[in-house]
Amino acid sequence: MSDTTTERAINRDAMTVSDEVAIQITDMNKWYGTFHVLRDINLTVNQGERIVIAGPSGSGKSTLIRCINRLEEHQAGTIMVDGTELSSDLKNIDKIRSEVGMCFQHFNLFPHLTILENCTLAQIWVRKTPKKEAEEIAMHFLEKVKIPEQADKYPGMLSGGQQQRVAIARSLCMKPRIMLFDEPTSALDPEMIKEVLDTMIELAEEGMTMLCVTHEMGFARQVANRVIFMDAGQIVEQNEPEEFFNNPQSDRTKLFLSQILGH
Amino acid sequence: MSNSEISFVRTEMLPEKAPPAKETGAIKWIRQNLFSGWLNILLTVLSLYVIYAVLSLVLPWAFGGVWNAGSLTECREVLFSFYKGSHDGACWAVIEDRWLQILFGFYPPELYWRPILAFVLLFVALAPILFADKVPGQLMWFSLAYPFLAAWLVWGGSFWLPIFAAFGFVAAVIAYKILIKFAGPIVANLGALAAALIWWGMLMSPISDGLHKMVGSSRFENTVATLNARTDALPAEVAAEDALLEAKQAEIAEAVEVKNEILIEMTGIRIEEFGIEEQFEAKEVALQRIVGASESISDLSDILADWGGAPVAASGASEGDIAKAEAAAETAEDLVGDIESLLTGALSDLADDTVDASELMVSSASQADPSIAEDVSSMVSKAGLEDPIAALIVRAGNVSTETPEAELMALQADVETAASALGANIEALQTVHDKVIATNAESLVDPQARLLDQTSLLTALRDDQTVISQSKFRLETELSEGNSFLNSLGTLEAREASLPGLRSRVADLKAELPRNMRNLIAVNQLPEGTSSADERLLSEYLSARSDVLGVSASVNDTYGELGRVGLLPIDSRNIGGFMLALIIGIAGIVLSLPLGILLALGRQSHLFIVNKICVVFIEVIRGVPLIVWLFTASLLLNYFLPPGTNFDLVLRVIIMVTLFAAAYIAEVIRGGLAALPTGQYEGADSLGLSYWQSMQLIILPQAMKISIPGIVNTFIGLFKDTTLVLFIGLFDPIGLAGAIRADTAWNGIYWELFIFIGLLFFIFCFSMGRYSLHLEKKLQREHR
Ligand SMILES: Nc1ncnc2c1ncn2[C@@H]1O[C@H](COP(=O)(O)OP(=O)(O)OP(=O)(O)O)[C@@H](O)[C@H]1O
Ligand SMILES: [Mg+2]
Repeated sequence: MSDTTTERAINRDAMTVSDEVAIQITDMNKWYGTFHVLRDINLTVNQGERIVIAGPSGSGKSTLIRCINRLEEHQAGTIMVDGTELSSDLKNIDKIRSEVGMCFQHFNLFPHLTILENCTLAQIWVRKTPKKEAEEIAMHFLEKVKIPEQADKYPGMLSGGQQQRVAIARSLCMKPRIMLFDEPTSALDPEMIKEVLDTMIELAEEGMTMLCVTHEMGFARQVANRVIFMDAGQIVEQNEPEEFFNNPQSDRTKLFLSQILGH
Repeated sequence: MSNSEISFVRTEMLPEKAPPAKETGAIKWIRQNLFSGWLNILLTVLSLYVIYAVLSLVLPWAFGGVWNAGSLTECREVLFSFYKGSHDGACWAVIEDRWLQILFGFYPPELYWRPILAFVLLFVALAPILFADKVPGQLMWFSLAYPFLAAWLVWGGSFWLPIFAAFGFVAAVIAYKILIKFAGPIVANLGALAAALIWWGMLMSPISDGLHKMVGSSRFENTVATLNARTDALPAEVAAEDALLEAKQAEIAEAVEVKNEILIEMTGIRIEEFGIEEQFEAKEVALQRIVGASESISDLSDILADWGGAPVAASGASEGDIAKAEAAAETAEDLVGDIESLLTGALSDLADDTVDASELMVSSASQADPSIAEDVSSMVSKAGLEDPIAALIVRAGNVSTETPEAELMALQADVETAASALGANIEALQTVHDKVIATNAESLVDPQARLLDQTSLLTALRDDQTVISQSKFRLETELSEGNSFLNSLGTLEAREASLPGLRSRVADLKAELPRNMRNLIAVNQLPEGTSSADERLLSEYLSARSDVLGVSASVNDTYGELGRVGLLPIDSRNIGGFMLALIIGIAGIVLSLPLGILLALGRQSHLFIVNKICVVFIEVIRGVPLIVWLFTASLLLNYFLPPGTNFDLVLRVIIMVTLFAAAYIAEVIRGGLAALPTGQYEGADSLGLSYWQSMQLIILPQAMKISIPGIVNTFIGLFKDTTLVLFIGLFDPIGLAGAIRADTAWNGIYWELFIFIGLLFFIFCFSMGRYSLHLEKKLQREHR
C-alpha cells in the first residue's frame, strides 16, 4: 500500500504522552464459540498515546479494539478504561462508551437523521445537553472536520470521505478521552483517504489518545508513538514506528512488512 | 495516434431537436403500453372485452336502479312498470331506507351525534401522528386523551369514568418515576404495571361508586319528584305520538292506494300487450308440433320406400334380417302414431289459447296507430287456423304402413301448408306486438312519471312515520324505565339497610363452617362423605354470599344511575354496524402497533425467558384462527376472570383482535429489524446510547420505515377481519345485512347491501393504502 503522507510538517508540540493510564488490558482472552480469537493480550495505553495496530486479515485487530468499548465481550482477563473495569454492569458500559469514541470502516452513520442530528443525538440523550448547546458543539466539530455546510443534508447525500469525517465529528461531540479507529480509510478512494487522515492527524496534534487499526503505514510513521503488530490473536511485536519499520524483529513482522511495503 | 482516419474534432455543436411525433405523447404511450407486441395486443383486446362485458351488465343495473320504495316488492313494481322484466335493476331503496342502521347498528338515533363527534375528533387526534410535520406538537396531548374521550362519547356514563381510566396510566408513570430512583428499570416497570392494575382493579370502581353515591344521595328527593311528574305526563305524550302515528299510517295507506291505482292504470294500458304475449307461447309450441308431424311423415315414407312397402322379412331370410325387418316395422308403426298425436296436440294447444288473434281488442293502441287495426283485420281467424288442422288429423288417422307413397306425400305437403300458415300468423302477431309496445310506451310516460312521484311521496311519508315511531318508542322506553327506576329508588333505602344484616349473616355462617370448607365456591366441591348438615351449611353460606354480592351490586347500580353526571350510557349490544367495525378496527390498530413492536424486540432479545415468551406468544396467536380467539373472548374469558366482573364484550373483542394483529405486526417488524445492518446497532452502542434509546431513536425508526407496507397490510387485514365478530353475536355490518334481510320488506335482497358495505370498507382500506404510499414516498425523499 502506498504512503499517503501529508506534505506539511507535523506539529508534535501537543503530542505529549502523560503518565496517566488510559487503557489497561491484562491477560485478556476471547473466544468465538470454541475459536480462540484473542490470546493473553496485555496492553497499557497512556493518556495522549497514539497507537497503530497492524496485522494480517483475521488476526483479531478489530476484535481487540471492539473489546475496549465492549462491542464484543471478553471471557477472561480484565480491561480497565479510565480506571473503570469493563464488566457486564450496564451502567459502567454506557459510561465507558460515552467516554470512548469509535469510528468504523463503514462509518455507521444514521441514514434517517441529518448530519447535524447525527452529531447532536448522543449529546442530547446521553449527556443531556440542551439542544441549542448541542447544536453549537456539533457545528464546532463539523467545522473542525471542514464540512459545516453539509449540516442539514442526510448521510446518503455525502461522499465516503465526508461521511467518515462526519463520523469522526459525531464521536468528538461526546468529548471522548479516547478515540478508537477500525480501518477508517479502507473503504475509501485515495483522494478521500487523504482528507480523513488529515483530520486524524489534526486530532493527534491536539493530544487525543488514539487506537488505530489501519494499513496506512505513512500515517503510522508520522503520528504513532507505538506500532503494535498482531497475528493469530496475539501481540507479536510492538515498538516505536522508526524501529518497527526499519528494524523489525520477528519473522512474521518482516514478512508482513515486506508484503505491505514491497510494492 | 495522429492517424488522420481516427482523429476527429467537432467544429460545431448540434442543435437540440424535438423527438419524432410517434415517439411522444398519448400515441407513444398507447403503442408502448397497449400494443407493443402480438401478445400485448391480444391481452389488450381481451381485457377491453371483459371490461366491456362486465360494465354492460353492471352499469344498467346500477344506474337503472330504484331509490324510492318501501320494500323489495315495491321496487319490483316500479322496475316492471318501466322495463316489464326485460331487464333487472338495483333496488337501492334498501340502502336509502337502512343506511343509518348499517352505519350505527341499534344505537339510539337521537344520540347519533355522539359517535359522529367521536369520529370527527378522531381526525383531529390523528393529525399530529399522521402529519407530524404540518401540525403543532401540542395537539399530541389531545391525541393521548382521545381514546378515553371517544370511549366516553360512545358508551356514555359519568364524566369522571374516562378520567379515572386514564389515571391508571398516570399512576403507572408516577410509580415508575418514584421507583426508578431506588431500584433498577425492571423493578420500576413492574411497579408501574402493578400500580396501574391496582388502580384499575381495586381502587377505581369503589371511588367511582362513592362519587355516584355522593351525588346520588343529594339528588334523591329531586329525582323522585321529577320522575314522578315525568311518568305522570308521559302516557299523554305517548298517546299523542300514537295519534300522530295513526294519522301518518292512514296517509301512507292512502298513498299506497293511489300508487296501486296508477299500477292498475298502467296494466290497463298494457293489457293488449299482455294478451298478445300470452298467445305467442301456445302458438309457437303448436308450430313445433306440426313441424314434427311433417318430419315423421317424411321418415315414414323413407322407411316404406326402403322396404318397398310395409317392412316384412323374405321367407327363408337369416335371423339378423328378420330382426331388422321387425325393428323397421315397429318404427314405422310408432311414426304412424306420432303423426296423429302431434297434430292432435297442436290443435289442443291452439284451443287452449282462448283469444282469437283476429279479434284482439287493440282499440286503445290502434287509436294511436291506425295501421295496427289493418294488420289485425288481415290476420287469419282462429277457426282459419284450426279447421285445416282438424281435417289433417282425420286424414292422419287413416294413415297406416300400407298407405301408398303418393298419399303420404300429399299429406305432408298439406301439413307443411298448415305450418306455414301458423308461422305467418305468428309473424303478423309479432308485428302487431311491436307496434302496440311502441304506442304503449308513449301512453305510459305520464303514469310512469306519476308512479315515481308517488313512490318518492311514499318514501317521504314512511320517513316521517319512522321519526314518529322512534320518538314514540323513546317515550315509551322513558316511561317504562322511569317506572322501574322509581321502583328501585323506592326500595333503595331498604336494600341499603339490609346490607349490614346480610354481611353479618355471611360472617356468622362462615365462622360456623369447618375451616377447610371456607374457600369452596360450590357445593359439589365438597369431599365425599361430608355430613348433610355441613352441606346445608355451605349451601346457605354460598347463597348468603351471593345475596350480598347481588344486593350491593344492585345498590351500586341504582346509585350509578341516580348520581350520573354525564352522558346516557349505551349498552354494547346496541353498538353495531360500521361504527362497531371502526371502533374495533381503530382500537386494534392503535393498540397492536406498540404491542407488536415490543413483541418484535422481545423476539430479538438475548434474554432467554423474554425471548421464549415472545416466540411462544407469537406462534400460538398466529397459529390459531382469529375466529377461535373471538369465541374464546366471548365464551371462555369469563372463566378466567374473577366472579362478578362484568367485562364488556366489545372490550374483550378489542383485546383479542389486538393480540392477534400484534403477533403479525411483530413478525413484520422483525423483518424490518433483520434488514438493518449491524453497523447501526454498533454505531448506536458506541455512542453510549442505552438499549431503549437506541431502539427508539435509531433502530425502530429505520425498521418501521422498511416495514410500513407490511404493517399497513396487516392493519387492512385487521380492519376487514372485524366483520368476524358477527359470529359471536355482535352486529357488524354483515350481521346487520342479515337482520335487514330477515325483515319481510327486504327479504331476498343481497347485492345492494353487500355492495354498500363493501364500498364502506373499501373507502377506509383504500385510504390506508394510499396513506402508506404517501408515507413511503415522503420518507424515501427525506432519507435518500
Ligand atoms: N462474530 C464472529 N463470530 C465468529 N468468528 C468471528 C466473528 N467475528 C470475527 N470472527 C473471527 O475472528 C477472527 C478475527 O476477526 P477480526 O475481525 O478481529 O480480524 P481483523 O484482524 O480485524 O481482520 P481484518 O483486517 O480483515 O478486518 C477472524 O478469523 C474472524 O473470522
Ligand atoms: Mg477488522
